[in-house]
Amino acid sequence: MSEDDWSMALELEAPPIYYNKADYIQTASGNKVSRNSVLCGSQNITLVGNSVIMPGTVLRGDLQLLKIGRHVIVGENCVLRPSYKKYKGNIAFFPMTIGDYVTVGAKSVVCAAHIGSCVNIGENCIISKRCILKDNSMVLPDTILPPDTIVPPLTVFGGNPGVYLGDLPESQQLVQKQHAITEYKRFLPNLKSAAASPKGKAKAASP
Amino acid sequence: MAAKLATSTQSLVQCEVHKDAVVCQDAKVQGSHGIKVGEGTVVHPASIIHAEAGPIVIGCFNIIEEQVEIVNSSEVPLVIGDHNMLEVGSKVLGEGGRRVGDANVLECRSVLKPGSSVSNGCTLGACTWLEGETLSDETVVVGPGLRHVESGAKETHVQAVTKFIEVLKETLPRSHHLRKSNVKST
Repeated sequence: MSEDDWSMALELEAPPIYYNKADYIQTASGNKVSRNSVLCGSQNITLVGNSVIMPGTVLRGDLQLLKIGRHVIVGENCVLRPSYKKYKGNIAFFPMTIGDYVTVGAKSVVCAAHIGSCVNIGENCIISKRCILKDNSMVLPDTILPPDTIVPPLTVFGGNPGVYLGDLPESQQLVQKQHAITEYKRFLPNLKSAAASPKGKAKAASP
Repeated sequence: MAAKLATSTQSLVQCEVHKDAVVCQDAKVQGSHGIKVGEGTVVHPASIIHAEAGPIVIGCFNIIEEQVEIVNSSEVPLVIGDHNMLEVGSKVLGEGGRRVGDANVLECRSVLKPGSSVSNGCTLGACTWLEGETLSDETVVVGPGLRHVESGAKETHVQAVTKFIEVLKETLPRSHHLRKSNVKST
């Protein structure tokens, strides 16, 4: 975290990540959705705007509603699927809501019932069924949260099984917000750079 | 591109799907050997079933979720029993044989490595793996070296899976194209 703070103090931005424009669909509200992602039941998926869905990701809108807020970055090969519960002998799926400025690391499996705003989920995490992640919380990489876990605001969870590890300062909200916005801004199509600079430079930057 | 892929794999794979099974068209069913899917089995999109060197036989009333990988790398048929639940990202790799018995739960990203198998009513916890051993009935693997026996687990697993399949059978066909059998029954 402290590294991020220092780079911001020096006004140094993370280097841009270039992507091939043909591989992504960009919507009017600024969403960038990879063509290699699997969107099931797209009529049930709402992306409010400025979100990035990386390749290999599976969004299961066919099971229940999936509502994703602004500036949400979903890493590669993630699975977002609504959770279910046995209720009065029947199985009922819950709608899944994700707030604004949420980042989900690559290869994570998220079956949470609700994720608040400004939440940071690391790589390789498993957020099991019906978990609730409150605003401004953080889940470290490689964490396995057991079913029905509730992560309170401004806390860090980690480990296998995921347990409470510590508190975060109140500035976490701004830090995470800034993090999500810079992640979105540095994700650029390489066409623009190719037009502005010679082709060789763009090629060198893309991998 | 997706449509092209689907047609090319379909023509290659001998895929026998029971008429009551729900196999999504987006599931990657590949390999040059036969794949048989039994009654009531649900295969979610983005799962991989690869008959690399030998056939794969999947029994009745199984749930195979997305990113699951079932690969058979030997000529012996790989057999998966009934009422199993393979959750997101779990893998069954390696040689054939009866690798998965009845009423097992393979949780998220658990791996059955070559030479291992589970019998009946077992639970393989999230991110655990088995290598070169056979789990006895109704064993629960929580983590490396952490396991216990849960009696009556088989019954409850069967009930849970049957209920779940009923729901999935209604919801999945609404937004997915289903794969049909391309082998004529003789």
